[in-house]
Amino acid sequence: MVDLDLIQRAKRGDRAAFEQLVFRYDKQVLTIAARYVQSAEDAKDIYQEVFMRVFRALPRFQLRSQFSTWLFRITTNVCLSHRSRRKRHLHTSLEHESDDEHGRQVEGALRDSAATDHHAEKTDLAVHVAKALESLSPKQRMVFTMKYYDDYKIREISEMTGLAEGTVKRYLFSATRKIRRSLKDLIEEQPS
Amino acid sequence: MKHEYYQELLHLSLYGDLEEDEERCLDEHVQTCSDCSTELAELKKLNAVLRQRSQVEVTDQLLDEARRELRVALRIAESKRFSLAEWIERFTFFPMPSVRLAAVSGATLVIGLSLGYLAFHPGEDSQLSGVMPAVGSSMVERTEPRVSGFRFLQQPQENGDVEIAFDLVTPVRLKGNVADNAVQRVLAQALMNEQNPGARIRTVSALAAQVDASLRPDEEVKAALIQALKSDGNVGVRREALKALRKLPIDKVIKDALLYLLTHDRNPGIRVEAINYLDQSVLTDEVRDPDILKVLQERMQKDENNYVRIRAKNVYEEAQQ
Repeated sequence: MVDLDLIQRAKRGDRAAFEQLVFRYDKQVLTIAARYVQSAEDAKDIYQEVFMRVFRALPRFQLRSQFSTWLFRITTNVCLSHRSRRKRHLHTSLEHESDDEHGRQVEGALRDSAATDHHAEKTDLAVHVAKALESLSPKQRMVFTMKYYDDYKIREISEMTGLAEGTVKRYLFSATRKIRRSLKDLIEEQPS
Repeated sequence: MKHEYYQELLHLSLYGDLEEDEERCLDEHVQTCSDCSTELAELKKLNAVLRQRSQVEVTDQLLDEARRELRVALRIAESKRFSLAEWIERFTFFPMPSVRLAAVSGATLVIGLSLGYLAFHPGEDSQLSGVMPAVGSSMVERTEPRVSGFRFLQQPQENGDVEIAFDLVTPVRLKGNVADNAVQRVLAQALMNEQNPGARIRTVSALAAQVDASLRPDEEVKAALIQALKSDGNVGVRREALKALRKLPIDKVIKDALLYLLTHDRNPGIRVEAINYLDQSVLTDEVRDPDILKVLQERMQKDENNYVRIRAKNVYEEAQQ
């Protein structure tokens, strides 16, 4: 069944059709969210907020654009507005590292007597990269994670976020400059 | 070409977003430009650092959890969706008073007709609700119906035509035996739709009592138990559903549900109980089913919980003997 049929049925209140529609795209939505945030809980929060907004707005969806375009626009908007809660969580988790995934990795590395220095270094790097990404503005971070970790084309990011391609590039380049500054010492330590 | 152009290409190369001809062009330039050559080396180092980011892995289990939580949120939203405030808001949305009047008149007419119809046909059970096609020996007592979930399928037109939908809710008091088909079906519906987890636990316990009595539950009841087992967000409900199903011999549907639990349920206690259920059948051919063996083997190697791994290993080895 094509999206259009499912949308029409979902608009009439058919829950099964709505779920079918959701399940076509939800892994992609969860992946975008998971790349943007630092924890599975935050990613699930974003996922839920996206589809609740879709659920509420679907009766007014005019079919002027593709459903997927509309959905990913909502996804990026929810990611961007999720910032304050995420920042609060991250602040707490970086202060008390055992609360988040990086913290668990650090803890694991310390607990495991067989853990090598290399593992500990790698975990430390991961924490620094997370902090560097955290220093970006929400839009820079959104565009950067979609490009670098999700591997979307610049044209696709432009479509999904509603930003012009030139703006996407500008965010990418400024994000890279900022990250380079944040990770300067670590980059210099890397072998050539 | 300008140096800035190559700088841009260098950055795009970091993101793997270069066309073939751009890549060739950049390669040639880097050979002759020491600044860009140094910049490229720096970007490669940056790339190596960025790849160390630990990311949230989008596993099937995470997706499953997200879907389960979404279902709960949707259920709650649906129940609140057409509150009185929203109903009023919908009417105030219509720009022209004549259209608003037509909408109100149309809605009143339909509601009036429906209520009138019900008032003159109070004795026909099947027309009130599909969940009680037959009441058997149960005693049913109804009170006045009320309208809820009012919504427009088609907004009022210039000529006053309108299409609306609403739920006509009739509070029912049903007194009977759990073995009664009608009672069971109502419980099955409640198990799938009730928002209160405590009520769902009591419902599934009542159904479990019936399963115990006959060993042949209604297919609808069995389906409701399996759905609760696989997707209910409350661990107590899932545990009760599993207890009820444990009284039944394993068939394909139950087997699939158990394998799903073993792979997806985030609660280790539930996973252990699923293994125990399979263990019941250790002397039958069921447990030698390759699907079951495959999942048991996977759990004994990969499950994050130590006890689940041990139980899976025990049952797997027992089945292999």
